[in-house]
Amino acid sequence: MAAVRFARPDQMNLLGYLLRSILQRGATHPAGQKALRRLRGSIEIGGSDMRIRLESSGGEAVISAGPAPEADARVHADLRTLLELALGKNPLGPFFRGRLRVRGKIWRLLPLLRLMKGPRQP
Amino acid sequence: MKAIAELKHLLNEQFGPAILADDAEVLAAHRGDMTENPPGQPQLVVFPDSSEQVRAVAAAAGRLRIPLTAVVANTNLGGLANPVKGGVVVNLQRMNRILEINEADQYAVIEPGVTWQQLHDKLAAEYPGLRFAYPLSPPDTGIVPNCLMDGLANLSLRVGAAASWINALEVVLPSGELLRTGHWSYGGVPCSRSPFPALEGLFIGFVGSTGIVTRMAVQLWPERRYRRRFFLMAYDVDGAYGLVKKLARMDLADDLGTLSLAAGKMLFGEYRPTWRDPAEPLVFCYIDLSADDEELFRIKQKVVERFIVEQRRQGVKLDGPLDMDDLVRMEPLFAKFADFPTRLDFLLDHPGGGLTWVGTYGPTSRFEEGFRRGAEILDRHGLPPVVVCRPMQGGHFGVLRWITVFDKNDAGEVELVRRVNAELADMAVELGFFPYKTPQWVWERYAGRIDPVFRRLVGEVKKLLDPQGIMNPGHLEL
Repeated sequence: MAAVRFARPDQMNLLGYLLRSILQRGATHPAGQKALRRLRGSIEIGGSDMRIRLESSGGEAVISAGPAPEADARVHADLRTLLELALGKNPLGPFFRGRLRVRGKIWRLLPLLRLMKGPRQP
Repeated sequence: MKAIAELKHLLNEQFGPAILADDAEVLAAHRGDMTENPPGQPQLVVFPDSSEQVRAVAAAAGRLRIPLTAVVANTNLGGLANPVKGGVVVNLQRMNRILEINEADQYAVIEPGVTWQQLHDKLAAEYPGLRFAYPLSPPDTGIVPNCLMDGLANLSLRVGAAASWINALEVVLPSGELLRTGHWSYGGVPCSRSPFPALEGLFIGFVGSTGIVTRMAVQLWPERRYRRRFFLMAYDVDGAYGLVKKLARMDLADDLGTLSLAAGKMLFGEYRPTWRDPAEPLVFCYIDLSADDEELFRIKQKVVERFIVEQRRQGVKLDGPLDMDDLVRMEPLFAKFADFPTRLDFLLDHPGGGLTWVGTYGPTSRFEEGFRRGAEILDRHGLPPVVVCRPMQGGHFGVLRWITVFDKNDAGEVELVRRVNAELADMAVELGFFPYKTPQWVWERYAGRIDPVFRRLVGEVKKLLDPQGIMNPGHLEL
């Protein structure tokens, strides 16, 4: 069973709570579970001014509050954009409008974006 | 005990045993509420199902000088229906009939046991053109007590506190007489409290110490065809409340208010979120818009969106708007804030079982200072700053409340929340806010500040209606 958990549950920011919901929801369907298993390394996610670090390996993702200076890849957006991505919006639109910024080993982000997208909308 | 036995015998003879209970389990369930306020020790619980039965109970209790405490769900968070002087609890849950819905004149006639969910479901099923105002209290609690204690709900920005929704009352007086107010006084249609002497005022805010309301006519309002609820996240207190107060005066929203960050984290299952990342938003503002006409609905949204842009231009840091429908699709937990009535499990279902607040009404001009100082007090005591706020009646006044969950079985925690609530109340009163659904400890704490003529008059009104002092003694004692 794929898992998303907090490194320190007593020190988690709102972005971490939202991301955990998004990833857990994404991991409820086979494509999401596959994406979670493919998720590797360290990613920094920024939502407005908040930062979280996502460490993944072997189908488990661990979320910590705060920046991740050594992250393999980074993705930053405002909360509304992150919510839109989680609801299945194509990331290219916000990317080209500058609302979604990515850095580092971008291929590391592909399973994350797939996972965030959740079950395919009917 | 002799008097109780006599009352029990009398009621048993008149109405049979079905309306009486004095077994340990029932008595224990009627001792108190979920707060730190002292519980009582009732000797008998009566479950009337008509005004006639309530009249008989009141008349007999008056003759025998037995304390009577009326209750529906006892979720007022002030211990107001804790039978602190013992005696008889009059549980009104069986009087739960919706007697009339008048679509043309927009009112409902309800008994005291009618719950928010009941009225909601009735309107949704049979009168989809009408709606009621719903609070954050659980769906299975009573409407009538909330109106009599001047609570609030999700239309209070437009229609004010709950007592102002009352059109007419039927009340069993402590003597056993039946009073009908307003248009009911001559057998008319209870479409308004005007133009009569406002005798309803003898029962509003009197916490059941002047009579037992057995019937109420309450206002209903049109249900709009289009509705949108969304959140804005604000990063500073001045920005959040500046925005809320301006929006309140724009006459666009049905509902408008704020929740602090800690309340948001509790929704996700965090019991006591005391830690805060400095980069997190401090305040969630929620805005409810509705209209019957599509074009009007579009215009309302456009005006609010333009206003948000303007606020940002003036330096207010905001995230969003995040639409409630989208949030619910992402995380079903958000459904708790999507539609009312709602049950906020994270406040009610935790091992300690305790829930308390200092809920106050006061001037919106002092929201910011109240938020800051209240959050500082809670933080200093190691409690999460759960702060809820709403402008009411177009922004003429507002509610500011600080909520704490605690372990009722831990004497140290009970003592802590007593101290914290006292400190919060002192700060609130200094700012010009006063606790609504006022617990007895608040009256005692500020007795020296309350106008002596006000205190005397409240006492005289109670004595005039209840010379034996049997109605909910130990509460509203000024």
